[in-house]
Amino acid sequence: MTERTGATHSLMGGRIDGTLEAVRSHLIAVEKAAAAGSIDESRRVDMLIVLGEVLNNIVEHALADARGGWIECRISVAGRGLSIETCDNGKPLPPDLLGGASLPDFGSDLSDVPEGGFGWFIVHSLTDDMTYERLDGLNRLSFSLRTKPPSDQRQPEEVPAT
Amino acid sequence: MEISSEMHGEILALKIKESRLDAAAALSFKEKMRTATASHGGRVVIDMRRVDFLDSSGLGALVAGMKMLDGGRRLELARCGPIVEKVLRLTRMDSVFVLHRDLPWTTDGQDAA
Repeated sequence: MTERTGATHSLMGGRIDGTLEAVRSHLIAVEKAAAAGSIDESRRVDMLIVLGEVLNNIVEHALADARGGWIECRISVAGRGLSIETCDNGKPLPPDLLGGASLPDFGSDLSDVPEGGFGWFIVHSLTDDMTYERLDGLNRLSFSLRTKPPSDQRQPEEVPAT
Repeated sequence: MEISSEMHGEILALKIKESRLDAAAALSFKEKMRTATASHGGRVVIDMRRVDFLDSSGLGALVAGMKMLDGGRRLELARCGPIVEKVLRLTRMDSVFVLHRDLPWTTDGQDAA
């Protein structure tokens, strides 16, 4: 059961293997916990999108080629706020990954539309207070979900011609 | 990753039969797309009804799938759920793919608003 107001409580915590398959299973479990914990749909959507990007990035960047890689992930709820902390035993996360919050260039033609570079943009669009620490050989990320994403106020932009 | 394929008039209709188009599924999706679209020169619509999760790797795979269509054809996505829609909107890829609320062959090809 979730508390309606007041104190912070943990929605979900635990350690998973550093693989894409483990991330997938974890997201399915988080989705169930969030639904059972009365997290409304729009916040649930944002949380699952962000969590997927962050965990996949850790697997693909910090834990690439690693054996015995793991990620700990804790999600806390306080009122309407959701905060997430992760810790992993991988390599340091590349600094450009953490800073890059712009959309990749769309180019002028359909053949130029980028196939990657969206992940960290998505994360930054939906979160606040992203902090990264490298401590005792571990990566630690902590952030909270933005309550009102800026996507609603976006400016129209040029799109590739047909 | 399982994709079914059928023709509706000139439209090649692909249906993703799994619930997640994510980093773990992206490579397999691209391979299936390549096979499914190889001999078709017309419109390609993917029914996204069963897909309840899309991440940036899955999105990249959709872009890669679109680029497999020669002649500057846009990939069309039908019946996207809330997570798919949100990822497309956030990344502005909703302006690159053609989105349909319903299956176009059931609605005279009307686009989603």
